[in-house]
Parts: sequence; C-alpha cells; structure tokens
Amino acid sequence: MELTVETLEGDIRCLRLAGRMDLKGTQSIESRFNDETGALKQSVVVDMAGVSFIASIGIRLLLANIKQLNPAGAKMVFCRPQKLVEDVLRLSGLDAVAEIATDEAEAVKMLKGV
Amino acid sequence: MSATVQITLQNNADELQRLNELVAQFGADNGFSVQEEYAVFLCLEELSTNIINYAWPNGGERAFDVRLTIDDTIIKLEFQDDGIPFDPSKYQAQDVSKPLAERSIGGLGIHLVRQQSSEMFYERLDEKNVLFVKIKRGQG
Repeated sequence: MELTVETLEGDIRCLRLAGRMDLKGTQSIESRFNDETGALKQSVVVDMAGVSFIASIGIRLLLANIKQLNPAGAKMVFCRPQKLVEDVLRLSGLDAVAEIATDEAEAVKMLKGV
Repeated sequence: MSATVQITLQNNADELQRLNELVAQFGADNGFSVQEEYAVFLCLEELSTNIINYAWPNGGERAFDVRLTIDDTIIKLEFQDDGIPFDPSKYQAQDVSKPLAERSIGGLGIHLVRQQSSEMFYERLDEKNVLFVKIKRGQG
C-alpha cells in the first residue's frame, strides 16, 4: 500500500492511502500510519479514495488509532471512500466514532467542527 | 451455468496472495460483479486468516483446502482444515454498536462475513472443520 502525507489549507494534516487494506497491505503501512495519526494526537483527514478493498485487519488499524485520538480531543475524518469500502466502514461501526466526508472541503469543515 | 475452482493453501499468510490471484481470475472468467467480487474477497480473507492463525495452535507446516463454486444464483465458498474444532457460525461476532472504549479486538472479521453472506453452515467431519458460506448473486 501507499501512504503519503500532505498539509492542506489551514495547516490540516491529510494522509492519502492507496491500495488494498487486506492483511498484507495493512501490515505494509501499519507502523507509519500509527506514527502519523494516533501517536501525534492531532486531528487528521484520511483520504480513502485510492483504497479499493478493506478487511477487518484494516478496520482494526483505523479503530486503534481513533481510540488514541478521541480521548485527546482530536479527530480522524475519512474522506472520499469508494462505495463498497464505505459500506464496510459503516458495517464496522466506524461511522459512530469518526465522520465520513464526500470531499476534502467537507472533511476540513468536519475536522474544524463548523 | 456452473463453475468450480479449488486450491490448497499452506498455513502461511503469504498464501493469501496466491488465493487472491486465483479468485480474481475466476471472478473475471465468470462475470462477478464488483460487489460480488468484494464479498468473496472479504469472506475468503477473513476465514482463511482465521484458519492460518488459530487452527493449529502448535504450529508446524499444515495445509487447508478452499473451494469456490458459482452458479446463476449463488457463490459458494467451502473451507476444509484438520485443525482444532472451531465453528465460526456459532462464534460471537463483535457488537459494533458498543462505545469505542468497550469494543474488543476480536470478532470483527466474523461480523463482516455475516454481513456479506446469506448463509453459513459448519460441520465437523472425519476430524476436519468443514465450513460452507453462501453469497447470493445479483445483490445491489
């Protein structure tokens, strides 16, 4: 999998993911994803547009980091997930602990809480 | 119309790649929709990973069989392993409505398999776990 980090307008951090979040794909980004999200305790947009598949191992990685962020008053907002990936995010209950945006502008608004 | 493919996998996570390639080809040959392909990949990944991680607590080099059968209405997945008895159809799936802090790590894979499939049937036969999972075709 690929993981790139960008800074959006307003100094908002954005992680862009691409590839399949199956066992192998998730393991390939796990430690960097932890370093760039949960460990920083800062709100972050996670752009899912390039993710074509997610299994429970991928959901667990996302959830583990949301568990680090939320008690610190920080948020993870998912941006532009593909339809079937979004279905799995919702079936896993991630939408109860993180918001899902249809585009980057909406993600930034959700992150700022406006 | 009906077609079948079968593969024997070692108890090693690297084997999932071989399984995925075979299933991608089988899906292309048999006209899986995007949604059907996703459901098949998800069920295969979750249930194969369970077998690889938990069927043989003492480790060693072991193997298990996966078979896919497709007809006009159903995609059937069959798993056979000679590991310790385990019935995923009875396993308590994760309650995803629980608050974040109370959620356990386990059970999410089984929860997703149940959401993506229409039926799960398990039997212990000749010292083997035999699991059938059915995915209805033409949904969504």
